[in-house]
Amino acid sequence: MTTQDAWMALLSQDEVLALPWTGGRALRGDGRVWSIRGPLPDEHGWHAFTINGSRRARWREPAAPSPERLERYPMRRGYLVGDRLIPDSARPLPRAISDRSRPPQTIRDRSRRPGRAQLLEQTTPLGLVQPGLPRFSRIGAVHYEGATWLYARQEFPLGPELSVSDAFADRQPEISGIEGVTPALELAFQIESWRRDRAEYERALAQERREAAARAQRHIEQIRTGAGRRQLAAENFEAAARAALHISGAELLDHHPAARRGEASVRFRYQHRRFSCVVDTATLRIIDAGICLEDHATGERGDTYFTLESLPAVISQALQEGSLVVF
Amino acid sequence: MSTTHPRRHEARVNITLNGQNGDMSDPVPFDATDQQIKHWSLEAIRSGTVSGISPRVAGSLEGCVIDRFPATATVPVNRIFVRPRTPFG
Repeated sequence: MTTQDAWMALLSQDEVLALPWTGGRALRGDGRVWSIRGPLPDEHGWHAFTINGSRRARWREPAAPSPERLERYPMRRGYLVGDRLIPDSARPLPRAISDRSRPPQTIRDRSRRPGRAQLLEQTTPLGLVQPGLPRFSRIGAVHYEGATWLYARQEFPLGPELSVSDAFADRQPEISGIEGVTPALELAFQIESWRRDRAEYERALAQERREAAARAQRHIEQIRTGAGRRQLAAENFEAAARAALHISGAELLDHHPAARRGEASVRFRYQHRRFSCVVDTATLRIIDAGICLEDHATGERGDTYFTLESLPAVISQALQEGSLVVF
Repeated sequence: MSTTHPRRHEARVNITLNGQNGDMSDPVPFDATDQQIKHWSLEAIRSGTVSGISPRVAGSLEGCVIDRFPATATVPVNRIFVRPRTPFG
């Protein structure tokens, strides 16, 4: 066998390796980098890849984690918050920024303290975090292949973690009274509290927006139909009168209770002139049109034939015919 | 009852009858004849789809007046009003 044949044989030998994969087509391990050909795994995690000397890898199947492999890399210990590591070297924020003992004035106020950037800049994003770990878990993470930080294992607690967890559940503003709290644990408490406040704020805001949208939609539906405007009149006469006049292009100027209960005097502008009328506040029916709608031959008055929606059209006709008589 | 938003060549119909007021749920062509509008309005009132006007008051709309208002900047839909004829003093 020639040297070239020996090399070819070596390169063509397939090997299966279980390696962590956190996205992309680059696969790293043992100081080497392979390019993944073919389909990618469905999820980040440990996977078996077929590799050979050609620096190409092909995904085979999910694989069990290999803690021994991670032991080779530099490890950092600290607390897990979400998918981030708060290393033991971290320092809590100054009280002026993180002070949660002062009662927040609003939900927005709560969610703003302390600054997100200031909290997160001391944390390290992790890959392949084991799901289901309790809050304030101590963990170890490794800087895998100098490229990314990966969750490695759970570490033994130092002691005060349970008390800090209780303080968090009780919504305590601070944990200075708990003995043995390390700076990293205090920062973890600050971040967890901020995350909870932020989530509550976002939920409240979303709820507020949903309710405002529902109110706006209900208002639109109400002012678009005659029956809706009457429903609206029961809660908000001004809005109903404005909507009723608006559909014929008239503009509500003012309104006030009339002499009789359940009636209102309404002033409006139409075709650059001001008019007044008296209406039933529940039905928006005209009681007194403020213009003469009387058949002098029969004595019949037409005022009550109309409503706030149709009165401007009557005025328009009277203006066109030159027969408008305003009281 | 919600109403369908009229398109450019259509109009929303508002009906006043016997002091009651309601809107037709569907728009009608803005250039429909008075007779057509009265016919559709009466049909809608009798079927109970004009919320706000009792079907019982729908005798005939023959004596009614049809007013047409084109869309404006402030009211961006064409509007047709069906209302009683009235004497002016």
